[in-house]
Amino acid sequence: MADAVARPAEYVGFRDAAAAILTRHEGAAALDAFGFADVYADGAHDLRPAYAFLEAQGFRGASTPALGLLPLAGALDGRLAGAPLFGAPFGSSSLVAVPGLTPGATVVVDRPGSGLVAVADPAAVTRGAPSPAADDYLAVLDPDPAGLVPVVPDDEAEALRERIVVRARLGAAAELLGLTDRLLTDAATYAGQRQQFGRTLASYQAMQHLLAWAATDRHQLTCLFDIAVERSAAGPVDPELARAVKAMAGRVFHSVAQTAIQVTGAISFTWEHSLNRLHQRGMALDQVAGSSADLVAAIGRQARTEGVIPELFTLAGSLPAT
Amino acid sequence: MQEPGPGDLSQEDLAGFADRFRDWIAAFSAELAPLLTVHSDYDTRVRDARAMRRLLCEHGWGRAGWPEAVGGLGGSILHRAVVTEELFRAGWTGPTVFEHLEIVAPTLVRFAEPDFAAAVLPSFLDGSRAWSQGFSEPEAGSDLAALRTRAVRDGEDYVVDGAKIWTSWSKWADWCLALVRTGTPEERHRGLTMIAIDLSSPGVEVRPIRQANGTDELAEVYFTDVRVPAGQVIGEVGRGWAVAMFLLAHERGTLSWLRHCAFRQWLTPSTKIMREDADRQLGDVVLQLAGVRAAAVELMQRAAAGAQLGPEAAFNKLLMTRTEQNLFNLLRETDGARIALPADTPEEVLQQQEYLFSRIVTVYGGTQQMQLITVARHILGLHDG
Ligand SMILES: Cc1cc2nc3c(=O)[nH]c(=O)nc-3n(C[C@H](O)[C@H](O)[C@H](O)COP(=O)(O)OP(=O)(O)OC[C@H]3O[C@@H](n4cnc5c(N)ncnc54)[C@H](O)[C@@H]3O)c2cc1C
Repeated sequence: MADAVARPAEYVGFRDAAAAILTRHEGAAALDAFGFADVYADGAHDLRPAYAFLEAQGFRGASTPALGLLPLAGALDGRLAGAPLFGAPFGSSSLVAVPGLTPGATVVVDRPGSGLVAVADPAAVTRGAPSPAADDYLAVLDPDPAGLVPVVPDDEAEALRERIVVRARLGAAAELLGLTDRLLTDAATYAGQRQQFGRTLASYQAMQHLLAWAATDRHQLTCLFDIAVERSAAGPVDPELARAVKAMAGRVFHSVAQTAIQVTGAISFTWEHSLNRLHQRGMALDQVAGSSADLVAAIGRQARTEGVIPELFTLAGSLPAT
Repeated sequence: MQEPGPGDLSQEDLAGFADRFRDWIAAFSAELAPLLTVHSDYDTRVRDARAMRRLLCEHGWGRAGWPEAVGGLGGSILHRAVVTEELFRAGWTGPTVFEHLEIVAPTLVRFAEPDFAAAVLPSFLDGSRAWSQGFSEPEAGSDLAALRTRAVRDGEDYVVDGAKIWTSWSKWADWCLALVRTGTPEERHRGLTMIAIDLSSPGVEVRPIRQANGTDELAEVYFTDVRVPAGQVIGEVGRGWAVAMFLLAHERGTLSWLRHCAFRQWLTPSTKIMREDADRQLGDVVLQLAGVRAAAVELMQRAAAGAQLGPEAAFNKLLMTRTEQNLFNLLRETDGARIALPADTPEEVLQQQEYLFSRIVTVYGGTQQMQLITVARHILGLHDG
């Protein structure tokens, strides 16, 4: 992945290491090779390597439970055996999405009023698709209220909610950024190779402008994302910042995907084309832990009712972690 | 109580610097009040902008972030950015002609003869002298390398002949940083040189142009046998293109910080009259502002670390101008009647001026199409033909 401007060096080191691992390993094996659990072992709070892993996972289109593990990591004080996966709200219904769900895994969901609860039998409530899915990364569960087992009571869960949501949103945004990057990279490469009228597509200004807008959108997402992730190394990330990052990740993903489809032409509209699975994965990730449409509306509502245009981060506070 | 001063200008203490400046603003609220009053008349705004520069320099804040060799106190662009943001938070409507400070001054610091920079920059910082930038010509718009204004060496001087157009703020400017042809037209961008012209020189004529929004920010500048000392060449003879690209990277990049501070000021009061059905549109604009802000911080951090800004500054310009237009679209859709025919207050008139200006922001400093081509060629590596 070629970054237009240098991104934080340490983060890029982790991301590129993860990308290399993900070419050789899938699933839990990739997490082990990266040392994913070490990132948050012993209460460590610098989660930059975890976000870097997720960005690389997005770029590679790989499937691991990383995004499911991250929100709850270190939060449950051994109340459950093993490493539970977080079932994040999916869309605006009561459905939850579990990334990289494997048989036997424990799934925990947040039910305000009841607290954090475990889904007794995830396989039994996993929504089946009527036809094969392009991407099986996200399992969507429709938890039966009767089959929920209390894990953390509501009053205690309250103290955990903010960080769970922040991690789920930044994690999903990291993956969306990786997907965005991949779609843009592939589309630009394709435009440089495919010829029409005896010239490459890349030589046409109309194509250049489409791709340049996509690169511009990707740049702003990267800048905002990097500020949030660098701050995560120093302490809790402001939930409003995490919300904006997730909202922008969804918005930018959809617009870059549309550009990639336009530039690639009919071949992109085939089941097998690599773009299809990545596109559908991004569509689903946009719905995880607050869709861009809902978050954007919430951002606007808050600005209107409070009469404040949020700054989200201060200049001094956005300097890279040292 | 001791007056809060800039103090430590290390990057590590940037937060402390911001605190001290906020304290100073609070302590000097009486002196600042007249300079923060909203006027729509441009001459008055320029007068106040000069006075603001003077006040800031008297107390050190206007010199923070500039090198000591040119009358500054050290520190970096990040310190300047803090001062800008805090002034906007306090209700400022902007620096008018001194927007050029962030564009022209870094270019002079980087490329001018040290003696010349040390001689002219202190009076730019303190608001007593203003600069304009003369690149465009009637026959050289996007194709800047087609420009024809000539400079011919004659003894210790260059003699300049030709005409510039769209030279922002030259009505109030004392200097023009002009891109001129010292080589042949066939040499295109390789035959260009940057030179600083004193606008009070014999043979200079400035003719203001009334803009569509009623202000006369723009002007034509005519040069007839204007003698300019050779020491005022900025950078090397024949290497003016590199100087212009440096300047334009600042115009496209660092300006986005200043402008986004202004955008927040424009948007905030309008939230009071927005309706619920505009929430998503407002949310989108807020999000775009966050993108402009984040990209500006990224760019300024690199500049502060000594990096030379390049084609990637086109990202900042594209983001800034798209946001500016969307923001003013939202304001128009919220209260279009007042934007169409402002009636009651200077704020309304100013809002209409800015609305109209927002329509042309995708033209100045290199059009949107040129920025997109820059990204496509120099960042994505896409090629013509
Ligand atoms: C408010 C304002 C302030 C300005 N201030 C200054 C200043 O201080 N100093 C200064 O030197 N200049 C200044 N300018 C001038 C500015 O730099 C030029 O207007 C700009 O470079 C475009 O030139 P043009 O207006 O002649 O448009 P043209 O170059 O004629 O372009 C017209 C349209 O054609 C498009 N176009 C042109 N060539 C191509 C191409 N190859 N491919 C695709 N599309 C193309 C353009 O994108 C544009 O949409 C200012 C302009 C404005 C509006």
